[in-house]
Amino acid sequence: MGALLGIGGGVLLIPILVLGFDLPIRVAAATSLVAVVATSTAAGSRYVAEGYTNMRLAMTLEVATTAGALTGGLTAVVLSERTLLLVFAGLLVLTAGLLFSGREAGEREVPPAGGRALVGEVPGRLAGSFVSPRTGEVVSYRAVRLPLGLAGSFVAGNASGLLGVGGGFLKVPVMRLAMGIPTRVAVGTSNFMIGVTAAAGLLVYLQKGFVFPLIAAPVALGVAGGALAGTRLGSMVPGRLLARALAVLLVAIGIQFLLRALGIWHG
Amino acid sequence: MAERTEDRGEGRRAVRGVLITGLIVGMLLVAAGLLLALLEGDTIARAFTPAAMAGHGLPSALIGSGILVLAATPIVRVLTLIGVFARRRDLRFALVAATVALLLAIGVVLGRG
Repeated sequence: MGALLGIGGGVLLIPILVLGFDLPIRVAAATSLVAVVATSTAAGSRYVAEGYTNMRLAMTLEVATTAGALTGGLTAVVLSERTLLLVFAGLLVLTAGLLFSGREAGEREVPPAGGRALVGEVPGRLAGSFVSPRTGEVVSYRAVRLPLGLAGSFVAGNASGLLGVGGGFLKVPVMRLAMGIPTRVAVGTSNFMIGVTAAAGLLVYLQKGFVFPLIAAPVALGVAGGALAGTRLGSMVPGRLLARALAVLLVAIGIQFLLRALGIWHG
Repeated sequence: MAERTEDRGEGRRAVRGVLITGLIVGMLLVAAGLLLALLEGDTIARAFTPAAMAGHGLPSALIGSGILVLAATPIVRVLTLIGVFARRRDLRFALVAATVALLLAIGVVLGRG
């Protein structure tokens, strides 16, 4: 699921580990970070090869995400956790509505240059093209509204630092809705980014002794297998359907945040 | 047949190599450690820290090493990108990737405190 939709899966995995297996929240978060890194690495090997990952875009947005994660503590001083959860819940439901109703943005067929089409990233720019796995056509895109994308990535990083989640559930909609990136590339690029963010967090959790090998091992092996299967499935699913599946997931996460804000859910 | 750009031919191959190597080595270590734990009947979950790896027993040390390899893979991927962009004289993005690496290092150092 994480590989298919470009999210790490922490928002799903942490409640399962806490509520289903009675693990302390920090151990669950550390185990979840192992899963996110495994998902990102397994899925990334395919997404990078297929040209679905724009590495220049990933690095550019990752600057804002990492800065957002580092300053998460400052936001926590200004707003209470309850207020933050309510804001995120509203934001998620709004984003889900936009994703569900919006059309696939930023895609157009590129006529082959000199009889041969170019596939990959455009050096020096936040643009590129890929071959649609469903139609075989070359699809090109160019990132627009970069400041808005950076602001959204900063918020996603802030959410990571504050709520202990990867933030992929915000990165994909930001790229798709704000920057005009096709869903398939947004998923591949988000997948690339969450691995970098999660790895930094995982190293900290490792130093502090929150990683339990016998708990993390089966989770890592399971999600890596699932991620490889998810990337294959993703090639067969239309971008519009991917966006709608993400919208449904965002509503579920938004409800989870709302329940946490109201004190009903403690996952 | 679509032509592959230089980016995809070189940079992507380098990054994919890092990902596949990290995934295979990391997962083999994790799977070997888990198998050994099951064979030894070791089912008690204990915390792992890299600094005290020798005292964890072979199964946990193997799994912990695998997790360390997995955690290092995305960071090596960023360092690889700095080299890829610099080699292509795409200095703006080499600087962006270097900034990400610097911010990650700051985050890890601050988080340890």
